[in-house]
Amino acid sequence: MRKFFYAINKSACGPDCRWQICPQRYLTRLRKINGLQSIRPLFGDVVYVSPPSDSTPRNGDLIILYAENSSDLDAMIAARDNFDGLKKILVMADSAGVNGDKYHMLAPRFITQVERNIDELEAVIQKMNGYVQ
Amino acid sequence: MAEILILDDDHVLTEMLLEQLTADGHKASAAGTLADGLTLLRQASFDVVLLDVQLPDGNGLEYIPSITASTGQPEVIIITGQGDADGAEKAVLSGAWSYIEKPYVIRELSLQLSRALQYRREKKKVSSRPVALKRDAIIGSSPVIKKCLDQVARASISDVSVLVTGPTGTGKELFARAIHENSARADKNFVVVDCASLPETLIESTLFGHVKGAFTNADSAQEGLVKHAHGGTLFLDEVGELPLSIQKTFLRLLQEHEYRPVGSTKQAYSDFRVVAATNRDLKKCVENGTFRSDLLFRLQAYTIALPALKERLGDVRELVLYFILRLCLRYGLEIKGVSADFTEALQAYDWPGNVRELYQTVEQVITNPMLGPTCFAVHLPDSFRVHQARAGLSSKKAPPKKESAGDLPTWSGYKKKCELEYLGQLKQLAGGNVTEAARISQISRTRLYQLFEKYRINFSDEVIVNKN
Repeated sequence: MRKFFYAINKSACGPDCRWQICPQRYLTRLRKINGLQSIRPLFGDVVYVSPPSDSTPRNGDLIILYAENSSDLDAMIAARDNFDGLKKILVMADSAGVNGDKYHMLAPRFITQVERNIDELEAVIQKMNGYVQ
Repeated sequence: MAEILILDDDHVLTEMLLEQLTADGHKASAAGTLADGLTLLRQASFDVVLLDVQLPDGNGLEYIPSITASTGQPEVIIITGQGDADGAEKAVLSGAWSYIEKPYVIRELSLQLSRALQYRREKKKVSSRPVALKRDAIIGSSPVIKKCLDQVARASISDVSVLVTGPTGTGKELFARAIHENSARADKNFVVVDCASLPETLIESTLFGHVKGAFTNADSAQEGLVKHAHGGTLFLDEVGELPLSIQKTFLRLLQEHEYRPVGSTKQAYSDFRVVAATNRDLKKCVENGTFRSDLLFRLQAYTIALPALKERLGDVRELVLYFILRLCLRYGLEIKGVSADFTEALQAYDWPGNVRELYQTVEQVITNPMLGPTCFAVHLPDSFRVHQARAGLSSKKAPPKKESAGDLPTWSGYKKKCELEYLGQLKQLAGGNVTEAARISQISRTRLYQLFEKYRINFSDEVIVNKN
């Protein structure tokens, strides 16, 4: 099971930088988790590129979807066919996203918030790894 | 109004129950022995049987299978004066709906009876009404898949708990989703609980949510999956992986539909429908002591057993065309055609990883940069082709049974025949390319040339077989 990280925006840099919820910052935290050091990042509107390559997620891979806000979440829901066959974990930057229920359209295996203890996410990923192997 | 049979030799209790049931609008009959009771069950159809354990002519528990198999296929509620945990377990395992001790029967019967009758109404609806079905992503028209789709249609019209079973990769989540999408709950959430991924420490807060400050790092309140499933469907994926210690929590949730967010003092209610899936044989898990029998009983009110792909190889072509279309659209590629040898090769395989493995195989073909407008067998992944070649050889190599000594070829003759067959297939697979042949066969180029020389094979052109 290969692991991918997907966010609409590569970073939150700029005049309105909100470094606390910057996708790059979360990606850096993820890379400190055992087994996620080589997680492959994907950014932008397109998850799948043509011609497909080894850096393209395939059936059975794990993808961590990072939504900074509800418009990111809406965009991911609109493109949910692209995530079919992937094991999805959703990370929301705001608590409103976690408490809304529309994210179930993505059918994530786990949902968490940026501020939550990342050990929880690590435990889920380790358990997924154990089950797949 | 329901038809109820009381099978008990305690005449005073029987009179009281007859009076109470009649007052509640039911039609009740009574028998004091198993023999009389079984005679009544043969003569009339009953919805529920209230069964005593110790009867003058035998133990009631041992007759539950005969009772539930009688004309009306009634639900059985055990009533006994000897209340003990083992007896209750035996009653549930024997197929009884529930177990009431006699001192509490008047108080508890009404609730147990109404639940049993509700379950029975749901069960009857499920088993009797054929309906049309939305089946967007479920591909195939083989008889086995049609049977499963029919079961999905029947399950969709009720709220009965459904257990979807089948080997890994058969599409259990797809079928669970189809049940939801065809049900009256379709406009509400389909909430996935991945029992194989959730660590034990997170299960309660994930399911029930938590209030602010419930534990370290709980800086804000969070809603749980059970709340989100209100009005919709709670899908317990890989339910067989649930730790035994958590199963009791699930059982209570399924029975009561009530829960308490972590750190909260208030109970909450959720009207969800349960669909569960597993690739495990849960009956065996119950025997092994890794799964609770009462939880299994709650989950498997209706079971849909999905077939392995090798049981529906006739669907392979339809599946392949569907996967190719989806993948080409996803990757922005021109839609590929499919040659006959491509589907023949796929249909000749037994697919231990089922539809998921087929999808992954087609995905590898589609993402092959050398693929032209049509998929040929040669485009299949090397590992797949080698497996096919080996399987072909081993089936041909199998020695015929009961041959006389004179029919058995010599060792060298047999070896020569096998080597020739192998090289013939290798040539076909490698397209006459020696480097490719060396890679597929894991034989060095030097050894390959020696074999070509030995059998006078022109590898890149045609095979000239030396019959000697």
